[in-house]
Amino acid sequence: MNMPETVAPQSIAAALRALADRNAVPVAGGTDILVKLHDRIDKPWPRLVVLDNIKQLKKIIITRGYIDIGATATFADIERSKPLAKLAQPLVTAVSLAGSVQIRNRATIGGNIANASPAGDTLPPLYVMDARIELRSLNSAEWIDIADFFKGPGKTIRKPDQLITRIRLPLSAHSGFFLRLAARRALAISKVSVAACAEIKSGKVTAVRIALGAVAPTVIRALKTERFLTGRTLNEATIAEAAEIVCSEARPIDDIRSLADYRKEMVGVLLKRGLRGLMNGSAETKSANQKP
Amino acid sequence: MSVIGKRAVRREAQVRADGAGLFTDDMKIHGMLHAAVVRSPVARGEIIRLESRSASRLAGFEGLFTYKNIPGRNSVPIVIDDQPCLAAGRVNYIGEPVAIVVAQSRETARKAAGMVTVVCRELPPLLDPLTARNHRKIRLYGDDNIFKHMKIRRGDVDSAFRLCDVIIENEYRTPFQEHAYIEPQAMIAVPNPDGTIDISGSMQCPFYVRKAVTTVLGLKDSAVRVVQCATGGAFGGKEDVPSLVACQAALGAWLLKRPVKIVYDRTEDMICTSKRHPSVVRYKSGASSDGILRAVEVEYIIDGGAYATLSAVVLFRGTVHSVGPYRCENIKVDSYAVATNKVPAGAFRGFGSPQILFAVESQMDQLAEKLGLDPLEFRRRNILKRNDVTATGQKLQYSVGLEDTLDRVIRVSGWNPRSDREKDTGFGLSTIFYGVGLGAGGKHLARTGANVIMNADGSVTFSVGTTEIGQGMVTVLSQIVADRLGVPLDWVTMIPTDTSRVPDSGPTVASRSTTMSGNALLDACTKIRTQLIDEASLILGCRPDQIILDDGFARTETKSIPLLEVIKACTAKRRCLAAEGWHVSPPTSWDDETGRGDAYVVYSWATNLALVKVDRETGEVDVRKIWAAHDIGKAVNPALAEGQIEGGTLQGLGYALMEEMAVDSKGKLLNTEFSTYILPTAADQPDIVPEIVEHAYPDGPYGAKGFGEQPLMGIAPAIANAIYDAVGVRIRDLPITPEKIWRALKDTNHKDRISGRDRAHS
Amino acid sequence: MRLIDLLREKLELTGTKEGCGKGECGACTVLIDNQAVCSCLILCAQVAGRSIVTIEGAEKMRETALLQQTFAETGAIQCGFCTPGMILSAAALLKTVRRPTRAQIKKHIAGNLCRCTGYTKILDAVEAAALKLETAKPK
Repeated sequence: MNMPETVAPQSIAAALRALADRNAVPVAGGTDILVKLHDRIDKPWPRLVVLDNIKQLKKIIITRGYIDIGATATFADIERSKPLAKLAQPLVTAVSLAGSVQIRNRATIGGNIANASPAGDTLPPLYVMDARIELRSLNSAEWIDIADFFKGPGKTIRKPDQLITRIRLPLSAHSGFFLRLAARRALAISKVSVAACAEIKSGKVTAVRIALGAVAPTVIRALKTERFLTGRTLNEATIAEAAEIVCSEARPIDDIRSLADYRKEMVGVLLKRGLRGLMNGSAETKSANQKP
Repeated sequence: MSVIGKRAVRREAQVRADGAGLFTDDMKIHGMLHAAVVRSPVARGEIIRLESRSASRLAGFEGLFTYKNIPGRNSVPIVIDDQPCLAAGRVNYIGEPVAIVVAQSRETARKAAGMVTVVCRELPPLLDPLTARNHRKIRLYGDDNIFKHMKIRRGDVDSAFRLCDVIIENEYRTPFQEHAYIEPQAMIAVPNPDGTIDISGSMQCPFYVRKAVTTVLGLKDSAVRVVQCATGGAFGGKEDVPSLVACQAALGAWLLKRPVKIVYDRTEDMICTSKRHPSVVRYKSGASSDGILRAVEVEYIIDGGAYATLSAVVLFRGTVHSVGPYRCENIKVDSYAVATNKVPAGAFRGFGSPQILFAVESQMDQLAEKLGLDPLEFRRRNILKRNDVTATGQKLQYSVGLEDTLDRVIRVSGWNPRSDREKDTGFGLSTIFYGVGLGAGGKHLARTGANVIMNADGSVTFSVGTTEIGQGMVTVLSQIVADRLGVPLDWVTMIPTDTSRVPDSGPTVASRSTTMSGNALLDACTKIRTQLIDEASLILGCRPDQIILDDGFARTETKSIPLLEVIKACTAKRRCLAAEGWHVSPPTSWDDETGRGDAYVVYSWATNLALVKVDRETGEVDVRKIWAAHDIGKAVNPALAEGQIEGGTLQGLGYALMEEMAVDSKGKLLNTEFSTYILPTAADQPDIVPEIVEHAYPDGPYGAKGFGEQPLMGIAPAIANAIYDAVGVRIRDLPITPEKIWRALKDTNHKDRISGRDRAHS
Repeated sequence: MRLIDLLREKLELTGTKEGCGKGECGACTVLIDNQAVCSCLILCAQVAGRSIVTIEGAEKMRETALLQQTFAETGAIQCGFCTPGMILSAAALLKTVRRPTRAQIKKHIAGNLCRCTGYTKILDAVEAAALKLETAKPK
């Protein structure tokens, strides 16, 4: 392996200093970067700033009003977190389906965000939970709405000297779901995914957020569908109509994993199943594909 | 107490469980260098030059070698001698080896190989076997790009079809299937000062490797010694490919006079090594209203890739099995292996039969439906039984357990084709067969040697020419040796397969090891046994035929002595307790014009039943259970036999539902990693119920016949038939993805859509 | 340097296998602080000071030692290449869930590809080891 130079800072400040060197790249879990390293043995690599020693970055903190998830909290950490299981169900479902046990023990939420795959599984749940991302550099700290974070497949607004440090989720009384389709039941990138968060009072949708994964260059909010559902009673008829609208909002492509027309219709199927679950009071439903 | 039929624990199990067993890449040799391969970037072209200046400047670079450096002949002989070791001018598939780089570390070798530019004049490739066949301008092989054409002619299909009450005619397509053995290709070559060279590595066929290395280096057989290392999975993918890999290591080792190791990177392995032949099958079958199969007309085309390699033999097997395990008097089969500019396809568990059986078994269900019969009844009326004659005119004189496997599956599953079932679930059946051994297509290779030495302390070492690749051969053969010599199983050890120990014994393929090596061992053991019994009869004062050797004792009805005493006496008298064994397959025959002959010495048989549930909205298939009953003659070790059934069944499920390697318009393989080439994980596994049926093969050791490939072969059609039973759509191209089912369900013009099924769904 | 290279090249502990180099097959699985991870996806700098268990240490840990036994007895080993990673993955499960269901085992070892066995006997072996662990527990 063409081994690049690595540094392992002990604090966020030290990491930010290391990143100020333009030729440095942060490494969280490493599950994306090391795959890329494997394929590129003939090109020189930047210096790697390894974040494992920074304890502060791994913490999951619940306060009044919001949850802060440290950027290097792993999928397994999130899966195991009891507070998150109650308060951020769609996110917990998403990470529990991703990859494998080995991947989940290393992959981090910050890494998943930085990798910016349109099929990244943490992303649709973060969208529907109105997540904000803390980006820090030596001289700045700012919070970015997740919807403003991504520019395209693999591209974010993060500058090379910036580090994702926290992901903040406002606490809410909403229930939600995350559903996806993939070619097999483990180690599979999503063909299509749907996350939603809704507040339902007396059978009526008072607030709803829906995000679609793997059907556009980035994760997208299904705004037309959200507008349609808001204020309506959740029943079979509205669910069916919402499913039709959400299909029209998806802009998928054909690729090695699946086909555009299939994906387009499947967002509707997944939305329908998820909404039915919310209607029936069960916060989660799973498609056949996801049964272990 | 005989050890035959016992679920003996595999001999190597503990070593593997400890992680202590050495696979090729676990071995280091003093002074070892590493090789990597420079490969063609285009599917068809002419090499203009190699640019290697920057590569050669890397620290640790030791050499770059092309076909010009080959001391012997630039050929890796398999069946026809058309495949070069290193491309000499013309390249014919993306990934074709052009040069070898040797360096001090694997990383440097791979980096250097990546830095060598192969400058080519690109030519338009032929990628579709249907256009490649008889192409007017581009010649990849011979005049017509056809590696081989085979035929079966029997009866009069045209007249027979005219009399049929139902006819079903369809086209089926299957893709590349990749072996995906978890251990990539790996070889080590060690040159010796005396002009000999030792090769060790991951392989199925040490004698093929020897032949390739002697050819490329221009050496005699006696100068090349090939020893198989622990091999991490093969499935046919390590039948002929290791010959090429070994030559890559050997060339570097020979020219630099240093040991050289080569290990393929996974993506490289997936791009450059053989796969199951993609196929197109045009199948027309007809039956009479009494439910009898009357006529079959087949065109079977397999996509052989750039070089002939094993295509002719794959075609042979596929052709022989092209009517399925049924009686049929009117047959017209034309099969073709066609050259294209893709990686040469080769051996993969089933060897040309899974493709054709997918078509056969799908056809059978469609015929049954049109006749108004259920799939089970239709098969019962047509399956081959003892004394029947096969499609190639072979009378089945013994060991025909197909009906038994069918009965067993029905009994164990409780399936009734006519009963109600849960909505969107379905059952699907397939009945298949498999000629054991190389058959008439590989006659000249159908011989095996063995040697057995009983040491003075009673321990026994034996060698054979076939290899352990995970199927449990070491254990099964040890059981045979232990039983024949009357010793406890733990007294018996197999030496790693080594070409210097036994004569050329052919390849470890075609499910032939148990019968061929087993019989060769019985031959050797019988000679030793004779010595032991002779001596024991003197000691015990009785006739030889009154003595049994069992579990370390020589016994008569009244007396028993430890075998060690007998051995001691033998040793004192200088009796020879070592022997060679040899087994030659019984005769087979084949007529190229008519496609008639006794194609294989014996057949194994199987019935598969799949239970699926289909999600109508997403098209996803949940395979809940698969019953698989196999007639294997005799289960020498039932636990290992079950392991073959379970493993092959899941590989068949992958072939049915998930696995395909796609090719783009330039001939590039598109999904060449485990993240994009989708194999079943443990989470995808259905319940698999293995069943063993035993109809003894008189010429097999203890009645056993081989069957390692068979478990894969009938799964795809069983699942396809089950999907049809569940939701009424029939998919005729593999893999049966959710997208295809979804599309078929939406398409109201879908050919097989049935509105209103006569069986109630709850 | 990747952890797998440290293990195989520097420490010459070759029980950990490389099947793909991209974390997609699980053959290189080791335990770090009792969690299963792919050693081909870890840089040594990331795990300085952590406790690592490879298959060579299996006999020292109750779960792995039992699994080695049941894997051999049940016929869960064919070519053996996936076996070290598979045993360590299963051990990580048994450390946290004493009597896992078959479904739980499937989910937990789904990151370890096996092409030979069809997984059936592997699942049987993990269940057998779990049972032994359970019955050996002091009351």
